[in-house]
Amino acid sequence: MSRIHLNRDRQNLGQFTPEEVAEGLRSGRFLPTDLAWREGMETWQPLSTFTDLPEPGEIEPPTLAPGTPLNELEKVTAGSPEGDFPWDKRGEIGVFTALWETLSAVLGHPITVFAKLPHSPSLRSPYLFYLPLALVTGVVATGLAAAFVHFAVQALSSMPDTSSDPEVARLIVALRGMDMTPRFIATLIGIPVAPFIAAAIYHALLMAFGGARESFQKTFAVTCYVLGAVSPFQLVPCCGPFVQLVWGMVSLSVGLAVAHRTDTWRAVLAVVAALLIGCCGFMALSFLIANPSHAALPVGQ
Amino acid sequence: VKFRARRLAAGELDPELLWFGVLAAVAVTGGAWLLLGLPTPVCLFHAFTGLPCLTCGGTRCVKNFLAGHFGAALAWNPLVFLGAAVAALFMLYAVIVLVFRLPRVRVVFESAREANFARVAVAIAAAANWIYLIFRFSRGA
Repeated sequence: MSRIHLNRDRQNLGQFTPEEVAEGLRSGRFLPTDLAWREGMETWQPLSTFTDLPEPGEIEPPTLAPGTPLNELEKVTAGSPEGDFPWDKRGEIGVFTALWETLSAVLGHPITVFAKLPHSPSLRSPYLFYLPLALVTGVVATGLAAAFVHFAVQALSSMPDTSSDPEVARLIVALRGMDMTPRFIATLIGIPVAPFIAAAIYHALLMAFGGARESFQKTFAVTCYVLGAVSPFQLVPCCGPFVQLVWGMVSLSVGLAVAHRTDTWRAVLAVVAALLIGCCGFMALSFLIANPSHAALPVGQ
Repeated sequence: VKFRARRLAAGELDPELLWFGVLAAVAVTGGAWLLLGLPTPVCLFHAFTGLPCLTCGGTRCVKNFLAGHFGAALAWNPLVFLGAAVAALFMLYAVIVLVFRLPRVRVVFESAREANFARVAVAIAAAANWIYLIFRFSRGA
C-alpha cells in the first residue's frame, strides 16, 4: 500500500505507512482532523475518512535483526537527529518562523514536538529560545502592571466621593502599596536563572521517582521551551497567570514524559511536587520577610 | 462530533492522569491559599475602567462553589462556574477510569468545520458571560 502524506495547519508532517498512521492515531501523535493524501486521491481528506487503516491488533512489530546493537535502538526511540526540532531549524527557515513554529508546537502539539528533541540537546539553543521571550514578556508585563497601578490610583483619587467610600479608599491604599521596583528587579535577576533552578528541581525529582532516563540537558531543554512558550500569557490581564500556570504544568508533564520516555505519573508527580516545593518556599520566604527576627535566630536556640 | 472509548496502549501518555494531577495540584494550592486568607488579586481592569473583566467575581465564584453554594457561585461568574463544574466532573471521571482501569472516552471532531464551530461557540459563551457581568456589576454586585 502507498505511503500517506500528512498535513496539519498547512504544515507538512511527512509521509507514513498506513501502520504508522494507525499507530499515530492511537497514540495521539496524529489527529483525525489532520489532512491526508495518498496516490490515487483527487484531494486532501481528513484522516477520519480513512476507513481502511489497520486495527491495532493487526499491526505487527518490526522484525528485530539478531545482533542489532542496543545503542542503535536507543537512537530510534530516545530522540531525533539534530535539526528536526523547529527551533533548531532557525538557520534555514529564519528566527521568527522558527519561533512561531516552536511556540505553536510546544503549546498545541507537545507530544509530537518533544519526541523530536535531539538525543543530546545543547544548553545554548533552548536557552536562546527562552531568554529573550521570557525577558521581553516579563519586563513588558511588569511595565504594564506599573502603568495600570499609576493610572488606577490617579483615576480613583480624582473621584469626588473618594473619602466617603471606604471600598475606594481601601483600593487606593492597596494600589499605593504595590511597589513595582522589587518586582522589576526580581524579573531581571530571576528570569535568567529560573530555568536552571527549575530544571535542576525537575530532574532531581524525576530521579527520585525513577523517571530520569535521559540526561539533564533534555530536562533543561523541555523546561526552557515550556517556560518560554507560556511566558506571553503574562500579558493577558487577570486570568493570564492562571492559564500560564495550568498550561505550563500540562506541557511540562507531557514534555518530561515524552523526552525521558517515562510513565505519565512520574512526570506529573515531579511537576506537581516542584509546584508544592515552590509554594512552600514562597510562603517561607514571605514569612521571613514579614518577620525578619526569625531569620536572625542563632542556630541551636 | 463523536465520542469514542478505547484503552490506552502500553507506554502511551495518560491524559486523564496528567490532567487529574495538574487540576488536583491547582485545587490544593488554590484552596490552601483561600483557606489561609492570603491576599486575592485586585482586578486592575475593573479599578481602571469601572467595567468588570471576563473573570471578575471568579474568586468569589470558586469560594461559593467549594462551599457548596452553587446558585451563588453561578450568579458570580457563570463561565468560571462552568469551568469549575467541568473540572470537578472531569476529576471524578478520571478517578473512576484510573482506579477501575476502564477504557478512556475521547471526543473526536470529524472535520475542521466542527472544530471551528466549537471554537466559535466558546468565544460566544465568553462574550455572553462578559455582557452578563457588565449588567450585574452595573447593578452594584
